[in-house]
Amino acid sequence: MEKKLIPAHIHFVKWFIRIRWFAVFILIISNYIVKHLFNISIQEIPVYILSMILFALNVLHTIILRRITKKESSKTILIIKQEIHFQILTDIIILTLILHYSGGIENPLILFYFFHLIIASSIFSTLKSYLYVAFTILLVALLATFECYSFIPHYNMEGFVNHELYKNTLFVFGTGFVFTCTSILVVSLSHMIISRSIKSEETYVKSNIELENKDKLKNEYVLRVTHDIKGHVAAILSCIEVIRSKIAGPLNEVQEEFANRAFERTELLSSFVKNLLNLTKKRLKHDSELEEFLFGDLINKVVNPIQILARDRSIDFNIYVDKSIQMITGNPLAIEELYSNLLLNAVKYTPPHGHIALTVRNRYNDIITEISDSGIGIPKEELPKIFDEFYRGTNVPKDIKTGSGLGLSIVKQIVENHNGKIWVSSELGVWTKFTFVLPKNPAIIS
Amino acid sequence: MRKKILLIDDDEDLLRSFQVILESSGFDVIASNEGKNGFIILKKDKPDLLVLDVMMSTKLEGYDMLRVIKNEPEYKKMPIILLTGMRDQLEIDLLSALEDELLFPNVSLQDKPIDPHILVEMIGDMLKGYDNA
Repeated sequence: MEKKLIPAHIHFVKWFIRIRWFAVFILIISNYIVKHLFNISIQEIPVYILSMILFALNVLHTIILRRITKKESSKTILIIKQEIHFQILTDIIILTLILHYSGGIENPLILFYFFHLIIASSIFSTLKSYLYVAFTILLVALLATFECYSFIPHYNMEGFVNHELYKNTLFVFGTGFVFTCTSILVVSLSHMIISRSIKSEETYVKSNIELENKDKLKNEYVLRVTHDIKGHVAAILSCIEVIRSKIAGPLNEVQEEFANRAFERTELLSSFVKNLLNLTKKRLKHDSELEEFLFGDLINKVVNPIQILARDRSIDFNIYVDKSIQMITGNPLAIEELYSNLLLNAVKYTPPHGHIALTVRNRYNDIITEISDSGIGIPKEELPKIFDEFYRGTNVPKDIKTGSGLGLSIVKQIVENHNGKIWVSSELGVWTKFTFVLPKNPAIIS
Repeated sequence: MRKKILLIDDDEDLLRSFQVILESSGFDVIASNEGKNGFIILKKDKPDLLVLDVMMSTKLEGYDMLRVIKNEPEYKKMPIILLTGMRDQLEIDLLSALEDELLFPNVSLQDKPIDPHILVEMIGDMLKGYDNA
């Protein structure tokens, strides 16, 4: 649960740092413009120095963030929150110092505190958010009163504010009061809004994890059940075989017919159970061991039997495999299954004298495969469903024996287990094309 | 002389049908649905080849039996066909040990379910290799 929330936190800190780069840039530019274009008297040098300190701090924040992201642990979120505390505190202090050198309470930049208060209230608990409000009010109060009673110098913004407002106690306390009220209001409002959205995100993540767990449980259950069924089916199959092969004595015509019917149906059931078991194991990643292998060798192994099959059915089989693809990492058995499933489908659904084509291209860290055929196609409205379990095309002619309806689910699972992607496009009665991208090393990408 | 095959499997239906099919293919078949008796039959009847289901009632029954058999010098070279339904759930070191010719000579691993005709063919091949050796 915690782990799933880490990326969001890191993303937030990144955004915060990015905003600060922008702020440093704007600060320096506006400092220059205010001083030299509008001729307003502000302390140019101290503000430049403070901008530089802010710049240096932001470099430090970047380094800290990089360290945090490098080694994730159970405490990562805690460390990130501490880093955000550090960022907000230093920002508030620097903002106070900048204000001090540029007109104190008379400077409208005083509104910038609210940004930090909003950020604090979006991340931290109610108590901590209000502590930030208190800290900010304290800093502003100290700055205003010390300047008002001349404990520290006041730097006028001549040309911008022409009255000596900082000495006017009514103005100072009036502004202070409004500032205090606004701070509290801003924090309570943003805290309410943001904590709601965070809560809904947490529920979302939680229910997602729950779903994943349930799905895993379901798959484990399916695995156990199918395993049992497989054993029974195997026994039935071999018992029927004894009768069918007439070992136990001759059969009359009708007996033989029914023994054969029973045998064929049981064989179908057996292959269905085998496929379901295969798919479930892949879902549970029971066979996700990766190794390096020569891609060309694997393709040759897959393609040879398909070529023979295609020739028998007078189907033209066109193969192009980029020679520059050498070693790739993956589960070779699964990848073999992936190619042979799709190619067998292509042969199966293509009428005699049709064409099928296999194209494999090399692209940076991926290989892109296209398997196309001039077969019966897939109805447009069924395209989104074809990778679903137990999907069978409604336009498949009666004389083509459909399989378990699991072949394409297995294909999709293999591609996903390798961090790849698969698409299908088709024109009913004309052609079908499967395209999939496999990373040469799935481990690097994830 | 007819070759003698010992079949050990806890699925009685499978056992019986394999027995009939193997017998029709010209082998003498002794069938047992319990690993425990297996060893006694082995001593008494001296089969030429053993077909052993590894997942019997207890998880490791088949393997334990294999280990004991292969530790006896007398049976070290006897051909054994191991039928397993959960090859991918075996521990890796167990699997590689099984495939190691030195540790377990003349052992062949076969996924279940196996087509009876393929089993007959395998038995023939293994016995041929054993006779030649």
